[in-house]
Amino acid sequence: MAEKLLNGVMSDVTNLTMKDTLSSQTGTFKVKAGLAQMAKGGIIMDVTTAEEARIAEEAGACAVMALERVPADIRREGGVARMTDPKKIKGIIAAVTIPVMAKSRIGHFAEAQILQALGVDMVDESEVLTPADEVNHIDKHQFEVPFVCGARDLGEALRRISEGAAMIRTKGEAGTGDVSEAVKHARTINKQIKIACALDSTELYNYAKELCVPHELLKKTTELGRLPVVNFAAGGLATPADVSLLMQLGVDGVFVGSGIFKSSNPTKRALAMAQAVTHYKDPKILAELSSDLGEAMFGVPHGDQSADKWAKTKNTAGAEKMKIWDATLGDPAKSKAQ
Amino acid sequence: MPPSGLNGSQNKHIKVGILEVQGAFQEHKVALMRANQCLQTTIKLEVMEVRHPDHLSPDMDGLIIPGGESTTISLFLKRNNMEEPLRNWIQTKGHVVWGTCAGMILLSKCTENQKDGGQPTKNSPMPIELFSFQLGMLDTVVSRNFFGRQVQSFEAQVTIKAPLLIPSNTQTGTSDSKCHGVFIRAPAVLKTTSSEIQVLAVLERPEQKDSVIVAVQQGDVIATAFHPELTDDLRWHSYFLKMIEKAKEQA
Repeated sequence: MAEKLLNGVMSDVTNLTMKDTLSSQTGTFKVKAGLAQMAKGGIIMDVTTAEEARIAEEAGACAVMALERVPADIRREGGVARMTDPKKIKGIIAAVTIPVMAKSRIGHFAEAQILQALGVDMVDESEVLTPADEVNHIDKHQFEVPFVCGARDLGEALRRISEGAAMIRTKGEAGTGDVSEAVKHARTINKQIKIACALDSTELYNYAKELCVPHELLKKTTELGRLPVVNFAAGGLATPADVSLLMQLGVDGVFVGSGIFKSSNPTKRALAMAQAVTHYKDPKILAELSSDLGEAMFGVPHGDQSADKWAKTKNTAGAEKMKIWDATLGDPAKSKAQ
Repeated sequence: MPPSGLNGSQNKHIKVGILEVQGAFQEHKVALMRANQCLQTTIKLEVMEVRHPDHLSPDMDGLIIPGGESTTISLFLKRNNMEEPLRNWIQTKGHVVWGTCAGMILLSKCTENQKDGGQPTKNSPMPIELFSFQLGMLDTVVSRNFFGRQVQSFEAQVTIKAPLLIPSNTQTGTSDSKCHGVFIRAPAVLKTTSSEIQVLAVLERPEQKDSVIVAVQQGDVIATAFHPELTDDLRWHSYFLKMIEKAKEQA
């Protein structure tokens, strides 16, 4: 498994092997990671209806994420958040020509199988929904459909990749409109890659142990100087400036969830944020794009415990020390019911 | 006649732009640099990013349009008033263009708006033509997502038809007339509508009855439905650089 994975990962930028024998294969890691490659420099928007999907496509989204409720509503309303109604997903697939993604609960491989059968282009095994398995993530190698997974640090990112994720995104704090956690996660991953790159080959074994990741995958990361798959930012982005900030921190593209359809003028904001992801290096264009967008989503500052019951269970302070099983969100039943 | 020394130094510097809206632009850049190294020429290759109409400078020699989603890229070009500058740039003599995947769709004159493996669109969504456009540089009819959605995306061997591409395969273990094709929600050429179109590569697989045209050239424009930048085969990038060299010599 690791070898198969490594071949795929190596192909990302500098593959040195090529299989002559393959006649025609679907669902290879290269094909799965390739879809993520094609989304690079793009913006992926959360949508809950076919109409919203069309607005997102027309605004310039490179893909849409079909959801039952946007994260901000999941937060507010609480309860168990599950996979979206297949009928709704089909409607969205029929409405747009760009790729359609959908979320499954963490560890809920049956939901993922259903999403694959529906023909979604990518599955997000997402912490935004209520985790279905407190211990295990989905074995994503078993699927033809590519997966994107959230990560708060390099350890989480590489563990998800070793499970077969074709794309990584920062977890951030979905549904808050507060970008600080996404920034923290992007910076943590960057910093840990820098640390890994500075270590010698002997030290790298121990660092792999510390991060609880396969050594080969960490080694590959140091060779590339970046994550071996496409890495997007997600969780709390609400303005074109937020997009620019994360892009300048080195992510390949962005997800925007509640930030668009929870703002006062979704069409205009969607357009501005889609433009911002390409023009992220040009503050003059960003100034124009940021002008007169109406109100951004209301937002809940990170750490505002009175307003945000989730914050209590989502202690990310020692993220790098966390074990595999801490990748879930603790016990949402306790935190959200109230 | 200008002194040959001057001419020579001009030829030694090639500028290639990559439309960095969406797609594997970084991989294209890496592949171009590696291809240039492998060609062992003294050419100084400069790779530039193109995100704004001002970036389309006349002294740029080549342009890669990666992909990506054709809808997304065409909307971006439209919103940033890049359609006409881009068309003008491409039509300028001596400028060489290469479109991969979405780039092929944008360069074609005609697209059949189809989904799900060549079936006509069901439930007729908002016609995408209303808000997208095409550069119309190739006399071809292409089908978007010809092979289907992501779960139908695949890797396969592509048969190269252009003799120019075949000999220079040095590093890889593939047989010379084959190359490794990565097809991601890929388009395909349904038919060519002019004799100026040269078929560069076709795909034969059991899922399709006839061989499918997956790479074409018309003058200084080439298009591939697959992604050579995601493989180690540098022949396509080398070919593109050679085309630029040739175009520069003739200009």
